[in-house]
Amino acid sequence: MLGSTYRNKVIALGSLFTFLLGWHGAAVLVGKEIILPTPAVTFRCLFQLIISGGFWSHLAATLSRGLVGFALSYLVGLIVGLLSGLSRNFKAFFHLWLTLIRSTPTIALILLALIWFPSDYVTLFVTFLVVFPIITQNVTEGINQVDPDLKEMARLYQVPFQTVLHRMYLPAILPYLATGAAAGLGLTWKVMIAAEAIAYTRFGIGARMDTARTYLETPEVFAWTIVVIAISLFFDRILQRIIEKHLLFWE
Amino acid sequence: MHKTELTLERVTKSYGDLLVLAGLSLEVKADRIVAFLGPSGCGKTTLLSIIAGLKAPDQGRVSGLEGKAISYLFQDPRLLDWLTVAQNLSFVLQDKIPRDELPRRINHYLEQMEILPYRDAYPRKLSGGQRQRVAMARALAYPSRLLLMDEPFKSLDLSLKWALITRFRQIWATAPRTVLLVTHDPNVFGNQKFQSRGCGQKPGLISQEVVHAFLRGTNEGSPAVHQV
Amino acid sequence: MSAKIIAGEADIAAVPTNLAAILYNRGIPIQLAAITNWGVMYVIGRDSTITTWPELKGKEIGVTGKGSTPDLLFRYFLSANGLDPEIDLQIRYYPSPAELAQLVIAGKVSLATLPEPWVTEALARDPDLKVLLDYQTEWTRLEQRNESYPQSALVVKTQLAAENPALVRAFLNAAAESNRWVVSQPAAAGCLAEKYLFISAAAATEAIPRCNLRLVAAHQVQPEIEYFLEKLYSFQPQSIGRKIPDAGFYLPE
Repeated sequence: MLGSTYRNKVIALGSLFTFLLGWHGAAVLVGKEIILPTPAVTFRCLFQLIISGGFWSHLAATLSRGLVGFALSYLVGLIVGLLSGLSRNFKAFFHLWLTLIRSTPTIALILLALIWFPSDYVTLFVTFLVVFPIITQNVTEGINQVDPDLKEMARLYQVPFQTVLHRMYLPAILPYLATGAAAGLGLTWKVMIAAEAIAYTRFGIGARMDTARTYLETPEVFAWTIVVIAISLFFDRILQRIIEKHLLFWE
Repeated sequence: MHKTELTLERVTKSYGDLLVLAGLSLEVKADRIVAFLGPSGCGKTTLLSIIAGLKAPDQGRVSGLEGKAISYLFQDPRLLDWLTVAQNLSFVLQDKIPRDELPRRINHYLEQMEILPYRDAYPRKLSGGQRQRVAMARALAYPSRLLLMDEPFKSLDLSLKWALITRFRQIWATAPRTVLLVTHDPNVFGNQKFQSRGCGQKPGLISQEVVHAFLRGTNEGSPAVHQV
Repeated sequence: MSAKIIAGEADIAAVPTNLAAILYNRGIPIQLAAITNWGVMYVIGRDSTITTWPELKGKEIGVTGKGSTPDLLFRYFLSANGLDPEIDLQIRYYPSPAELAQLVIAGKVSLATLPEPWVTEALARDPDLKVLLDYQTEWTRLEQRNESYPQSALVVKTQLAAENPALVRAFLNAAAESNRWVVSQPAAAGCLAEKYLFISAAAATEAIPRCNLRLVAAHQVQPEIEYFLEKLYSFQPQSIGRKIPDAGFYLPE
C-alpha cells in the first residue's frame, strides 16, 4: 500500500524533471530569451518578483476576486440549477438565457463589460457569467439523475418537499456539485486572469502579465504563468481533499 | 373487524386499444390480506397504481381512501444510499410522528425484521435480502392502515423469500392491517409448506385471503373479480 | 508586429521608438533607421474650461495602452504639473483607441487621451468635442527642446543594412519623399487614406497636420532620440528594455 503511493510520487517527480529538461533544451535551441526563456531564467525572474514589493498585493487581489467570483457563481448556479431541475417550466424559461450566456465568447463579454462597469467589477462580472452556467448545468443534471423510483417512493410516502429537498435531492447531487466545483474553479482562474489583463485592474496578476507582455519581458510572463498554475493546482488539491472526506462516505 | 377499508367500483383502464381493467368491482375488508394473482402484464400493477393514486381510472372509482396513509413495498428496496438504515426509516417518518418517539419506533420495527444490528449501516453494505427487510421495516413503521405490496419477494432467492414471507405473516398476525398484495407466484400463498407455518391458529384463513383475479379479457376466465 | 520582427520576417518595419529599443536590447538584430513622426497624442473632451494640465485635477479620464509610451508621457506630464496620477484624478484604462473613441463619441466618456487619427474621427462626429491639451507642445515646453518627442520609427534588419546599403538608402529616400508629399498634399493623401486605411478622407485630411509627420534619418537626430529614451528609462526602465541602447542601435549614414 505504501509502496504504490511512493511509486506514484517518484513517477510524478520524474515526469516533472523530464518536462523541465525538455523545456531547457527547447529554450537553448531557440536561443532567444524573448521567445523562450530557460527554466533557470524564469525561476530567477519569479524569485525577483516575489521579493520585490507588490507581489503579494497582486496575488491577493487576484485570489480574492477569484474566490468571491467563484463563490457567487456557485451559489447562484446552485439555486438556478435546483429550480431548473425541479420545475420544468422554470427550466424551459431559463433555457434561452443560459444558452445566450454560454454561447457568447468570453472576449466579447469582457469588452462589453468594460463599457458598463469599472475594471474591478468587470472581472467579477465576466467570471460570474462564464462559471455559473457550468454549475447550473451540473446541478440540473444531478437532479435529473435522481432515481425516479426513489422520487416515486417519496411521493407515495407523502414525504414533504422540504425533507425531500434536504435529505434526498441535495445529497444526491453532491457528486455533481463536486464535479461542477472542480471545473468551475479551474475556469475561474483562467477567465479572471484574462479579464484582469484586458481591464487593466490596478492590482492583479493578469494586469501585470499584460504589462510584461507590452515590454516584451517574456521571462516575466512565464513567471506569472507559473504563479497562476500554482494557484490552480493548490485549490484543486484542496477541493479533492474536501470531496474525498465528505462525499464518498457511504460507498 | 368487518369494516370496509376500501371499495373499487367498476374500475376500467385502457392503454390505447389495450383494455387492461374491465369494470373491476371489489370490496376490501379491513385487516385482511388480499392477494391479486396473475401472470406478468395482466394489469395488476396498474390496479395498484390506481389504488395508490398514481394513475386515474378511465371509468369507475376508488373510494374509502380519503385521508388515509398508505405504506408501500416495491419489488426493489428503494432505499437512499447516503442514509443509514435507521435514517432511511426516519426519512419517511420524521414528519408524521413526534420527534421523541422516532428512535423507539424505528428500533422496534428494525428488531421485528431482525436487522437491528445494522441500524447504522449504509444500504450498499447490505445484501439484497437485508435491504428488502429494511424496506419492509419502513413500510410497517409508517403509520398507516393500508399496505400495498407490488411483487416484494420477486427478486429474492428461495430461502430468503420464505424467511421474509414467514416473518411478515408473524408480524401481521400480531398487529393486523389491511394488505393488498400483487404477485405472479401462486406459491406465495398456496404453498403447503407455507400453510403449515404459523397459520394453524386460524384455519381457513388462507382460502379467504386469496383472490384470483384474471384481469384481462384475453385470459381464460372472466374479467371480473372473485371475491374474498 | 513584434512577433514578425522577432521571427525575422520583416526586413523593414514601422514601430514605436521605445519598442525598437526593447527589441535591440533583447538581441534582435535590427537598427533604428529613421523617425517618422514626432508625436500624435492629444487630450480631447467637452469641457472647454480645461486649458492647462493642472486643470485636469479631480477629473475622470479615459486612457489607452497601459504601460505604453503615451501612458508614461501622460503620467509624467501630470506629475510635472503637480498632480499625482493615482490620487488627483481617476484614470480608466481601455484596451484600444478605437474603443475609447467610440465611447467618447457616444458620450459615455467625457475626457480622453487619444492618438490621431481617432482624435479627428471623434471631433468630426461630435461638434461639442474639442482638443484640449497637446502632448507635443507640453513636451517641448517642459523639456525646453526644439523638437517634440520622436514617437514612431522605422527599423531595419541589421543584415539587410550591411549587405545592401543602397537599397536601404533608396527606401529611406522614398519614404521621406512620400512623407513630404502627404504633408504638402493633405487632400490627395486623405483620399488614399480612405482607400487603404479605415478612415474617412475628410478626417484624414484634417488629421495630417496634427500628426507631426516628418521623416528624419535616425543618426541626424540621435541626441533627440537619446534624450527621449533616457527620459523613458527614468519613468520605467522596462519601457525601453531595461537599458539605454548603445551606439550600435543607430543606423549610420
